[in-house]
Parts: sequence; structure tokens; C-alpha cells
Amino acid sequence: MNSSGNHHPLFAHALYKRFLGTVALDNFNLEVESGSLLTVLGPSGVGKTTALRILAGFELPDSGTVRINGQTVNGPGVFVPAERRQVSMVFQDYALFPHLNVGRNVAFGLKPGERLRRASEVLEMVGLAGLEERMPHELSAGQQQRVALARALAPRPQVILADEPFSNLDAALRKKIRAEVRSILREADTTTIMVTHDQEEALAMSDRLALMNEGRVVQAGPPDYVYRNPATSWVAEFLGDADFFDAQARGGRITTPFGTFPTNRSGPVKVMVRPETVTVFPHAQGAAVVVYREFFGHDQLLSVKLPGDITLRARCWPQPALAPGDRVAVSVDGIHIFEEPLETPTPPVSLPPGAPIPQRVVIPR
Amino acid sequence: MEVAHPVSRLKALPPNTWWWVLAGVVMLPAAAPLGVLAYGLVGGVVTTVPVRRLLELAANTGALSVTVTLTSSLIGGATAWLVSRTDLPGKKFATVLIVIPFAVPSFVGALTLLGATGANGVLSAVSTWLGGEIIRYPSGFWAAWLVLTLISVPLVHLAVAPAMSSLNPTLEEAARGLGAGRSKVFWTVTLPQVRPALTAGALLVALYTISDFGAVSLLRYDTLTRAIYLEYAGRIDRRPALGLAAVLTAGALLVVWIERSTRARGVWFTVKPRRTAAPLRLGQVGRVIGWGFLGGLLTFSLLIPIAVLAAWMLRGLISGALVDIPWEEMGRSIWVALLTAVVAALAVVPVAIITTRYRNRWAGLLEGGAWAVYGVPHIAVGLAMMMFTLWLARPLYQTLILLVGVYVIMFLPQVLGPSRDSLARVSPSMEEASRSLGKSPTQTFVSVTLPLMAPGLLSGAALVFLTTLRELPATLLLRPAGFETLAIRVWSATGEGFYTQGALAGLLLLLVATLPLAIIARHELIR
Repeated sequence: MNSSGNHHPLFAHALYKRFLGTVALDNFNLEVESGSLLTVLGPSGVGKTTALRILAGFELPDSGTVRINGQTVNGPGVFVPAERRQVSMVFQDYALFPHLNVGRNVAFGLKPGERLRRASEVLEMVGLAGLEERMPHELSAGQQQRVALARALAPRPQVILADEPFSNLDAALRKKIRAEVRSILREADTTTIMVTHDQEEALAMSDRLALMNEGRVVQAGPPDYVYRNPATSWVAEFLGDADFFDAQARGGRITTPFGTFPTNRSGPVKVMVRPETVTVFPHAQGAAVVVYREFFGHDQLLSVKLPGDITLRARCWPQPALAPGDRVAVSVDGIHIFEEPLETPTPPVSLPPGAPIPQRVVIPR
Repeated sequence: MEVAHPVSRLKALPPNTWWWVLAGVVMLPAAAPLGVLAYGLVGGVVTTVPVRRLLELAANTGALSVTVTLTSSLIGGATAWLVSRTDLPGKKFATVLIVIPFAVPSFVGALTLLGATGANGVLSAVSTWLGGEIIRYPSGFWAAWLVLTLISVPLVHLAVAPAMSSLNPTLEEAARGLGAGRSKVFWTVTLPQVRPALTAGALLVALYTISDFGAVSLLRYDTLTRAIYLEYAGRIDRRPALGLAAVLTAGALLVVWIERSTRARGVWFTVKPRRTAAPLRLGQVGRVIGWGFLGGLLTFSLLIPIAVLAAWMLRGLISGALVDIPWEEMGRSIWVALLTAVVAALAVVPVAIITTRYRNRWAGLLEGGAWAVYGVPHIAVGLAMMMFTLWLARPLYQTLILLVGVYVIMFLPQVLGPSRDSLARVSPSMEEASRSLGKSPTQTFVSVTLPLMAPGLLSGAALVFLTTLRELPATLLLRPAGFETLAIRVWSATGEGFYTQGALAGLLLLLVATLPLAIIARHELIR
């Protein structure tokens, strides 16, 4: 842990927050590199928005420290109000001022002297030059989103905080807008912290991910790294499709129905397999049987049952069209091993029909 | 999406305590009339009124209130149905005409009835010219019933028509699909769904009738309100008047309480309609009947009153009796109403902020207090405040400050409703956005919250202006000596039989009243 936090545009340490008995933040730690985009990712209700609102100065933590560019804004006996933090927020509902036109919205946080020049500069940056006179309700959802971004960028804040900024856009628009937003943020060289529950969005946009669960950051790192090296089975499952089964590690190896893999662990372990690493061949004497198939056009998802009551999913080419009951051979390109107790087996995400109802997932700390 | 917990959420606006201090300054005076009236009820003052007299007056008030409510609900429900669920031609035009009588004060309504009948009456003149007889002066129960019913129809119509037109047509279609005929669908599906709106409209009418002073006093029907004024004007001992006012207030607050508690339970149509129902085809006969009904109603509620007022004015012009145009009274009416509207719009801001943004038990009390004062009949507020100033605040007795202050207290809820509506549309995230862009709480309030509240404040202020213009009983009791307004002019001229003067003042009053109506209508259209 960086104890000073002086080198980061934003640094949060040991934040705790409780609402009427429910814990929202439980030792929340976060730091963001200058000029990068950090995404706080987690399911609904784990305290993401609370964390963001504390960083923005809209809410008080019970304890903990927040520093912005080295200056303490939350700490013992210190509270700097929102307007003096140099932190801009992009809201889920954009919060554009309906009584002000686009130009005045963008210029809202600017000093009188630089107003016009900076406002048009930022509007140009987000590709809305010339729309200064429009009222917010005359804009499309995508344009409103960009005005909100321009307004946040205009005062050159230390950090931009974005709370689920794409959740009000429809799916088709969302992908387009988020690519635009990413390049605007890169061009402006701002530091951004974004909160989302959408894994795809987080993986696609971020320089760094911070996975959050039960009020704290469980794992942080670049998206590729976290996807490939999940710290816990919960992270693995939250970031993508994953199947799990129990195995025994002996003599530096784990033996599975689809091959033997090296490991430095020993004893009971939990094995994780991602569907995209599984390859399936039709084979009359294959050890596995197809139990379920979902066809997606560009690929297919097969559920195959292996000896030892192991079910894996395989995401593979749409051809050949396999059907439930077909015998197949299976090969797996790399597994991930967790040294975790398995009181409750983690069920696969999509179940074949007639499968038992999944138990509640117990997430090990 | 996570729910922001209101418990510890920092306010983006200036802190709680500021607003409470301001709201306290606004609402504390409201305790004065309530206190005096409560004393009137429990302090033994009621016993100064003979029980028989009290029962008789209460029975008269109740009878008038019940009959007016029934008939105006029936007529208003029918007009609402015609306008919102059928293909009657000229519906929009009809809506405007149906609503206009709402702007007519009850004493002007009484004036038109009196001016139409009797030996000098306009209708009597027509009648004798046609070879008929003089129409006798109607007075008492039926006269009051007629005038108040015609004025109350718009209240019911305005409450029911939106509910009728926003009904989910699939429910009626489902009933039809299950084999119910048109009339069965109306009684078992349509009507139950608009019942909350109809109840709300009916209770408003009941409250209006109980509180009315102008019509019953001019038409000489012996209700509590008329008796209060007669007791006050005719005796040195003010205790019987206060006792009657306390009883009247208790009855009115009972109606308010019923209205508020039924309103909460009336939200059972949760399914938002995707489309509006196809209008019912009336056919040739149906259209004739529909317009015949509306025509009959509008003849009595609009045509005859306007014709009578105009006829009396013409008579005055021709005979030369009309020399004294009440310019002074008109100016006084306008500026007092304007002052009241402005003060009310300013005073309501802290109350609106607290009751929408800082919800807790005290905010509920504040809101309840505002509504309670609104429900107290104006004659009771006037009397109570007069007694209060006589007993405890003598310097304020018969001053303009007192008059405007009492107007503001009485009419505050009229501007509270619309300003809360517009405040509710200001998302707290807008205020937070302003804070994170470097504005202080006060700057945020001035540059974001207040501008967004402005439309609601404006239309609420317009309503207060309108109501102040028409206010009669509190003005009568609290005005400074010699302070004549148009409303008082109409009332006193009519009471003394000077219909020419009354008609002129009444027409001027209606003319001035069209200005705020235009503002309100514009606001409704924008919404």
C-alpha cells in the first residue's frame, strides 16, 4: 500500500461506511494513476456508488482517508466540501440543467473570464461544436451524454467520477458511445474513475479494474491480467463464464478427465475452466457426451459431461453442429487452480434443462 | 443501480436549519387562528350559543353541502365523461366553457340570480314582455343550491376528466371480452376506477359549500357562515360568533381529513395505459342529447349570468345611473392581490424545500399545518384573527399587514402544491452536479434549484392572485376602515339592491381575474 498517496490524483484508504446496520463500505481502498481510466466493477448493492459519492464529497464516510492530488479531503477532522475538491461527476441521469442551454451547461463550472473559449473548446472535443444554443431536451440521449462529459471536463478537474454513465443508453448505442467516450478521455488526458456493473464495459474500456464485493475491493489490476489470473473463484465467475470442479493435486500434477496439468500445489483444489479454452471434437469413442447446445450464429456453446460427473461448457465454432447425446473428445487449453475449500459447489451459469437448482454461492474471503 | 440512502446523504443545498428557521417564520403565525378556534371549541365559548340554534344552523349547512355535492358530482361527472370518453364534436371548446364558471365568485353568482329575478329583474322583464309573470325572487335553500351547484361543477369536472381520459382501455376491453355489456362495463369497471377522482372532487365541493359565505349571505339562507357574520355584526359580545366559527371549522376539518385519507388509498390503478381508449361513438341522436345537456348547463352557468350583468350595466348607462366607476376599488383589489401573490410565492420556498427534500415527522407536521389552515373556512380565519389581534396584538388590528398576512397563511397551500410539483422534478443529482462544478450550497440554490422551481411558483402565485381577488369574508372582517375592494363593492351593492353598481364591479372583477387564468392555463399547457 502506498501510505502517502501523494503520487496519485486520487487515493482512498480504509474507508468504512454503514447505513442503519447494513455495511456499505468495509475497508475500501483505491488509488488511480494519473491520466488513466479505472473502473470499479461489481454487482448491484456492493457499495460502488457509495464509494464514488464519498470520493465526490456528497456523502461522509464513517472513517477513512481520501486524498486528491496529495491533499487530504476526507480524514480525521477533515472534510472538504464537494465544490472545493476539483472533482467532476458524470451522473447516471446526466443531470443536465434543463433551464440552461448546452453552452451554459458546459460553462457552468467555469470562471467568467474563460467561459466562452473553454466551453466551445470542450464542446469541440466531444464533437458537439455549434450546438451551444440547443436546450438539453432537444438532444438525443447520446448527445446528452456527451454534453454531460463536456461539462465535467470543462473545469479541468483532477479526477472525473462517472456513475454508471452508459446505463441509460440502449444496447446498440452504448457500444458506440463508450468507444467515443474512451477516446475523448484519452485525448483530454484526464484521470477517470467509473463505476459499473457491466463486465463487458469494464473489460473493454479500462486501463485498470477494481473488482468490488461486499464493500471492499477484492482485486485490482489491468483487465487482461485480472481476467486471466482471478484472485478468487468469485472474481473468475463475475468476470466471465467459468466452470468449476474439485480435484486432487499430487506430486506437482493435477489429473483431470481431459488431461494432466502441472501445479505447485498439493491436496484438494478447485479447478476453473473457461469455455473459450475448451475444444470439442466429434469422436465415436470420446469420453464425453454433449448434454445441451445453444447456437449463437457466430459460435455455439456446448455443455459436455465428462467422467467423474464433471460438466464443462465449450464455446467453439458453430460447425460441426453437435446435438445432445453425441459423443465427443474434449481438450482444454489451460486451467486455473484455486486453493479454496469447496463447501458448496459453484454451479455453472447456464444450466441444462432439468438440472438441479443452484445452491447459494458462498464466496470465500 | 443502488439506492442512495437518505439517512446520511449530504444535502447539496444550504443546511436544514436555515430552511427550518425560515419555514418557522412563515408557518408560526398559522398557529394563531387555529389556537383561537380551538379555544372557541373547548374553552366553553360554544355554550354561549343556544343548542337549538346551533343544531338548526349545522343542519342547514349540512343539507346544503350534501345536496350541492350530489348534484354537482352528477353534472360534473357527466360533463367529464362526455368530454373525455365520447366523440362529441367541439370537445375542447366545451371544456373551456365548462371550466370558466370556476372563476366566478359565489357572491357574483348570487348577484346574477338576484339581478335576473324580481320585479326589476332582467329575466322577469323578458318574461313579462312575453306575456308571462314576474319571476319571484328566489331565496333560501334552493337559490343557494342553484348558485353553488353551478359554480361547483368545474371542481368535479377538473378532478374527474383527467382520470377518465387516462383510464387503461385494456381493462374495459377485458371486461367486454368476458361478456359484459356496455352499461355493465361502465358501472363495474369504468366507474370504480374513477371513483377516487370523483370522491376527491366531491369532497372539494363539500368543503367549498360548507365554507361559502358570499352566496348564502346574499341569498339569505341561514347557514353557519351567515350566522357567524350576523352574530359578529349585530352584537357587542363576540363569543357566540367565535363558538359558531369553531363548530364550522371542526366540520370543515373533518371533510379535509376525510379527503386526505381517501386520497392516500385511491391509488390502485398502477398499470400505465399504453394508449388511450377509443372514444365512444355517440351517433346523431347522442350528439344532440350531449350538446343539449351541455347547452342547458352553459345557459345557466354562463350565458344567463353574463347576459344579466351586461343588461344591468346597459340599463345603468342608459338611465345615467352609472357614473361612479370603481377605479379606486379596482386598483386596490389588484395591488393587494399582487402583493399577496408575491409574498406567498416567496414565503412558500422554505416550506416547499423542507416538505420535499427533508422528509421527516416535523416536515409532515408542517405540511399538515398548511393544509389544515387551508381547510378552515375564511370567515372563521377572519374572525379568529380579529379576536387574536384584539386580545394579543392590538397594533396589528385592522392593518394592511394583518390582512395580507392572513391572506398568505390562508392561500399558501395553493402555491405550495405547484411549487412542490416543480421541485420534485429537480433531481438531487442536478444540485450535486452544480456542487461538483464548484458552486457553494447557496449558489447552487440560486442558480439551479430556484430557476427550476420558478414555473411552479409563478402558476401558484397566479392562483393566489385569483383567490385573493375573490376573497370576501376575511376581507370584510380584517380590512382597515374604509378599505373597499371590488369584492366588497359587489357584496355591499348587491346586498342593498344596487344591482347596476354590483354588476359593474362584478364585471370588472371577472375581467381582472382573466389575467392569472391565462398564466395558469399556459402553465398547464406546457406541462
